[in-house]
This record gives sequence, C-alpha cells and structure tokens, in this order.
Amino acid sequence: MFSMWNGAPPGGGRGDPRNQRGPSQPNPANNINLPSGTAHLLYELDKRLLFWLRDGRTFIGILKSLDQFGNVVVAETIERIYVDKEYGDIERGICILRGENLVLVGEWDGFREQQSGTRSRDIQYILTRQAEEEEKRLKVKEGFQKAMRERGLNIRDDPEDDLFIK
Amino acid sequence: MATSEGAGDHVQEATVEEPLDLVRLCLDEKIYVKMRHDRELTGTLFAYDQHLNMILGDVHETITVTEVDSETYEEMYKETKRTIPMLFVRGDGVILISPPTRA
Amino acid sequence: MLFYSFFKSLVGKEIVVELKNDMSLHGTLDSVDQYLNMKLLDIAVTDAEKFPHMLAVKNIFIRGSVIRYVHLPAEEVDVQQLQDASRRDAEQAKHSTKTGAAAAAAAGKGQPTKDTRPDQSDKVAAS
Repeated sequence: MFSMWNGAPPGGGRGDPRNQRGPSQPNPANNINLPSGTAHLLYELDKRLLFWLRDGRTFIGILKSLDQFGNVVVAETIERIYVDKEYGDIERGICILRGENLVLVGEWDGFREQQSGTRSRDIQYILTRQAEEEEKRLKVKEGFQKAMRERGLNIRDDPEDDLFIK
Repeated sequence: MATSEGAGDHVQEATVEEPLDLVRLCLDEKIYVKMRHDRELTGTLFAYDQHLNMILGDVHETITVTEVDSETYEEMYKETKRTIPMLFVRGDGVILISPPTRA
Repeated sequence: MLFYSFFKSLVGKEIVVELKNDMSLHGTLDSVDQYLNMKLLDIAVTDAEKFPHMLAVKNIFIRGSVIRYVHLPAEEVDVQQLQDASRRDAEQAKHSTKTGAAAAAAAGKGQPTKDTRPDQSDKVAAS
C-alpha cells in the first residue's frame, strides 16, 4: 500500500532537474517502484524546504524524515513571520510537523528569494507589527460579528480562523 | 423494482435508487452547484465521483462577499462573477447540486 | 480513482490550482497521487503580494484536501471519455456497495483510506 508521501520517482525521464543526487547518496525513492507521475516528497529529503501550515505559519528547514501520514522531521528549522514584504525569524531547531497540518511544501529557491524583494528585519519589530495587524483584523471581524448578532445571526464558524477548514 | 444488477446501460440510465444516480443523469447537462463560503457555480457536468468531485465545462461562478461598514453597521453584498472554460471542483466544498432547470 | 487517472493524464500540462484560502497557483503539473495531492513545477502565484512566503519557492507539493478548484486546459480534456468513465465508475461503485459496506463508508469522505472497487478506470485519459 503506497500513500501520498512515498510514491514513485516523478517523471525522471523528462530530464527532471532534481535528479542530481549522486550514487554515493542513495535515495529511498529508488527502492520503491511505482508508476511514474506519483506525488511524493522523497526526492526532497535533505533539501531546504518551506512548510506552510494550516494556521498560516511558515517553517523553513531541511527535510530529514517523513512517514506515510505525511508527518515530517525538519532540521535547522526557522519559523519565518512575514508582515507584508518584511520578515523575522525564530529558531526552532529540530521539529516534527504533523502531516495533517501541512498544506503546502515548497522547494526553497535561493534565486527566487533574491528576486523576491523581501527583507529581513529584527524579530521584535516584526512581532510588534504582526500584533498590530492582528488587532486590525480582529477589529474588523468583531464589527462584522456584532452587526450580524444585531440581525439575530451568530456567526461562529469564521472561515478566517481556519482558512483550510473543510 | 428493477435493479441495475447485471443489466445493461439502458437500465442503468433509467433507474434512480440513490442520490448519486440523480447526478449521473445530469451528465452532459447544465447544472447549478452551491458551494461553501457563498460560492455558486453553473456549468456542464462532464465527470463526477462518489465524493462529488466534478469536472464542469463553461463554468460561471458567482462569489458573494458580505461586508459590514464599521461606522454604520450597514451590510454590503459584493458579487464577483467570472467564467472558467474547464474546471475541476473538489467535492468537499459542495453543498448541493441541482439538475437542469425544469420546464 | 477516476480523477486520479484523469490528473495523471494531465501530467506535464499547465494548470491553475486554486486553494481554499483563495491563493491561486499557476504551474506545470508534475505528479499527482490517489488523494489528489499534487506537485507543481515553476509556479507563479496570482496576487503574490498577499502571500510573500511563496515568492521564494519554485516547485511545490500541495495537499489535496486544501484544493478548491483546478482550472484545466479545456483543449486537453476529452469530455466524452470523461462522461463514459463517470458512468462506468458509478456502476462499479454500486456493485461494490452491494458486496460490502466499505465503499459506502468511504463515500463522502475527502480522503478514503482504501479504494475497494476493482480499478478499471485507468482508461480515462485526456487526448
């Protein structure tokens, strides 16, 4: 039984630029023979990846291990907080991220990062800015909920709270 | 009551035993789909499965956003419309499917 | 497995994946699995200003359950084949419901753990 995280090599025959692992570094993906074009993360082992979580948080680190549930072990992890195009980092060391909370995993691309126009700032500054933004958002939300209550509607299931709610 | 067990396509077309049979009868027809978070779709049904994942063609989507003025508490409904030639819709967002409008 | 087979036939084509948080990702479909998790290559995010953390990534893996829509290249989709496959799938699903309750239990859930139907739906393919 295969699952989402341990499928087959993704279309290696199409000159996949990611097949750059030397023979000295056996990849576990090579031992699994499944139809090509199956989505998995085995080729991303030991690469720096971005993990985007259900609650909107962003972790960046090196993928060290994964299982059939999509749980991952990430090393040299930082949590990166963005406020507009500025960001601050918090060191998180080695993390286990639970699979069901991962919504998107992206390969970190140094060139794209340089081109992105994002800027590193002091974490304290970023945390203050983040709190300000959150306060603004809550104010709008409370106004909305108050107005709805006045109309006899109690909106509890706010999609803003969990953007990926089913 | 006739069942589709061991019967050909002809019988399959005619019988409606469970909700999804009704969806099958909508294939190649224009349907209305109500989605979570105030989204509505109309389009031609080309494919579906038991999760109500679907492929629709020539889709018209309407998104309704409710906003409240922070001063007056007045409600504003904003409608955004767009068309998409061919669209896969994930079933977990579907609230209801309505067959083509009856004459 | 109808849509899994369908998306496999779209590997290498450009699609737009729209997530439940309103982010739209344009990219080349690299791979897909049974849960409709997808890998996209060389992505571009529409409304990138809202999602600054996506600016530094090129190739991504998306969990199927966070997808709302996928915009498909209409010219790559054989609608007749899709309709035939849907009818065939519906028929199969019914038979497996009669032989066991597993299919009924799986119906309605986003990601069934097991597909109990005999897999004949691999014939679905885009032209």
